[in-house]
Amino acid sequence: MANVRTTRHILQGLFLALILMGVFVFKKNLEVWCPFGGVECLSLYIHDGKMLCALGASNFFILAAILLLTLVFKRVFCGYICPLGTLAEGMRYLAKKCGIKPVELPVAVDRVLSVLKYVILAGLLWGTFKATELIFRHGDPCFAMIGSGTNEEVPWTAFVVLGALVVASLFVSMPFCRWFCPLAAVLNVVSRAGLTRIHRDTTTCIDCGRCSRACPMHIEVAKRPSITEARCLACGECLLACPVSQTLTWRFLGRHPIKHPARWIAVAIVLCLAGAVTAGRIVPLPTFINARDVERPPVVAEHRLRVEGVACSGSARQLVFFLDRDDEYAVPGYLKVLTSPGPGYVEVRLQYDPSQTDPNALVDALVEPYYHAAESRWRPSPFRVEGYDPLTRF
Amino acid sequence: MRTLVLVALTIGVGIGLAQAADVPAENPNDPNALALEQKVRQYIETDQDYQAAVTAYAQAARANPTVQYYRDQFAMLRSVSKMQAALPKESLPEKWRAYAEAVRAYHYSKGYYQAALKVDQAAQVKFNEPSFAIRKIETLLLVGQDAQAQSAVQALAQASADAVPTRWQTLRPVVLAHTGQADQALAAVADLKIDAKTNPASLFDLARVYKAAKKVEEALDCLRLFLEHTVPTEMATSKNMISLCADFRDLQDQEAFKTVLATQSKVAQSDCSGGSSCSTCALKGKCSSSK
Repeated sequence: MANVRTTRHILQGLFLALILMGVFVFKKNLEVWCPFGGVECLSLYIHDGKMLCALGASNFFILAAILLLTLVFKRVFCGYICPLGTLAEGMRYLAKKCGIKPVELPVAVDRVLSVLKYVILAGLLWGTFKATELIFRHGDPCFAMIGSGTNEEVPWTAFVVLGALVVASLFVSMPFCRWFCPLAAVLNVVSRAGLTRIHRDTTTCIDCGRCSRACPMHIEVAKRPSITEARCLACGECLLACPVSQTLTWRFLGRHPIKHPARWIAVAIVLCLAGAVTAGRIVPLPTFINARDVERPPVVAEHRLRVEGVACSGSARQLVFFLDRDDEYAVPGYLKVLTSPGPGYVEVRLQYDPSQTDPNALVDALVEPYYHAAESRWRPSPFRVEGYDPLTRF
Repeated sequence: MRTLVLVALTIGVGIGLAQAADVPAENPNDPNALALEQKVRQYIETDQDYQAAVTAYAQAARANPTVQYYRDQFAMLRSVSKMQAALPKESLPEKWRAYAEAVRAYHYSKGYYQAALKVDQAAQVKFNEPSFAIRKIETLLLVGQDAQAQSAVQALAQASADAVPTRWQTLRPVVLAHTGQADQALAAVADLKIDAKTNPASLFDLARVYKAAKKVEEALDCLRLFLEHTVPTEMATSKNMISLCADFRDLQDQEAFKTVLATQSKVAQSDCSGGSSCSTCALKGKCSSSK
């Protein structure tokens, strides 16, 4: 059973390293892989057919993958993947090594605090829909970690929350995950129906309470015949702490014991995330649509491009501005723009009247610099089209 | 295994910090950069060969694929040369104005005042408006054609006072100062009230008047105020203009002049993204320039 912990820590370290490399080395916008981004944007996407700044269809795919994992293995995302969970655990481990004793809150206080994440989730969903911007960024410790990979400025308040999380994690086990994380509130709804659970054999249990003390989420394992608690991270610490063999077991649908849970969890995580990444790449959903108010010609052509420099709906609007330009690179025949952000690029579909323009003119309009009359200066285009180098055509 | 997580964290942060320090250069740093700029200046100002200038930037961009500056300069000059070539054929007045303004802005940003003068002269011939006359006078003074500037000022003096832009109040004294009438120039600016926020370029004119009257300290004060009221995106153009201006050539080695050239803008830059409409712009709350 020890390999549950080993597997978990390997996966935690791997995901944390991947995230840090992605942000700091490859300078990627990892916000497009945040499952909570899918939660924040869902209502707006259904209502308006558009995503919010910096997010893409990949957020929906990763959310679906995480929900599927949660349905099978409870909050395995929090225990194996989430960088904030890893950070919190790491801080508590350091504190333990330094001799700092954990602060134990009364159960009643813990329960009241646990409700906070639902309040935060409700507030965020309502606020995001009304404001049509990612208001959680102002207090999102994860955005403080990954935000430098985006084109957006990370609000100082997000760093304050991250700092508070780091400090609090020295004294309390996983405070953000237990009380404040709005994604945890979403996952809890599915996790309650988790298909795999820890079962306690009351006939062999010696009631030593070690399992309860080992649980980072403070679940009273020793008092339950079966762990139905939504907040279970599937970390397996209770199983490792149990001194009596086969007293705590991992079971599927309450009946079938799982022999190698670590293996199953690792395979499920890899399959679900790989599926989400693949889907995000091959099934792009348009997140910004702009149609020109002109009569559609009988023949409409479409040109697909991969464009760098479109990070959000604001820059997608700027892309439309470039197509609407009235200088030497004007393209009178374009009809509709659909942008589908993916990780590291945006697929842009341009529908146009082939009798008036051609793909080369569309690309020129996007990448050539323009004169910004309001500021009396020339601005280079912020867009780069994959496979197009203006020097080769000169 | 927790140690593994911590090691991953440390390595990740370490690599991140190392990468953060490796910021790609904004400007060319190869030793031939200055020579290239001089070559391009000659192509544009002397030979009027835009194709050769664009080719020079293209070659530099190919030779230095990691330097974005050359690619940007290549793309910008290519657009400018297309507009420049389109000007004689353009029949729509509004489009002609827009092109002329764009071409002139480019020449000013690079200090190609001879090339800008050609645009100004063509614009005045085409439209014969005081605003274009003012632009021409401004450029004539920068290239040292003081007699022509004087003629243009006299011609403009015939126009009705309402039609003449406020810049005329400070350009006329510069012409006086350049034609040996420094005292009259000083008298002309003595009671002038200049709104630095709306018309910072007038402070540049004022500095030239003071310099001609040998009031160096006042001239430097005006230049400092001029730069302080220049928006950050136009700062390079303004500093270029001061550096290239013949009036201040003898001050180039003075510490006080160098200090002035190091002045930072005190004007907030507009957040305008240059989009087509303010009503749908996500930045409209922050932006001061509505269209």
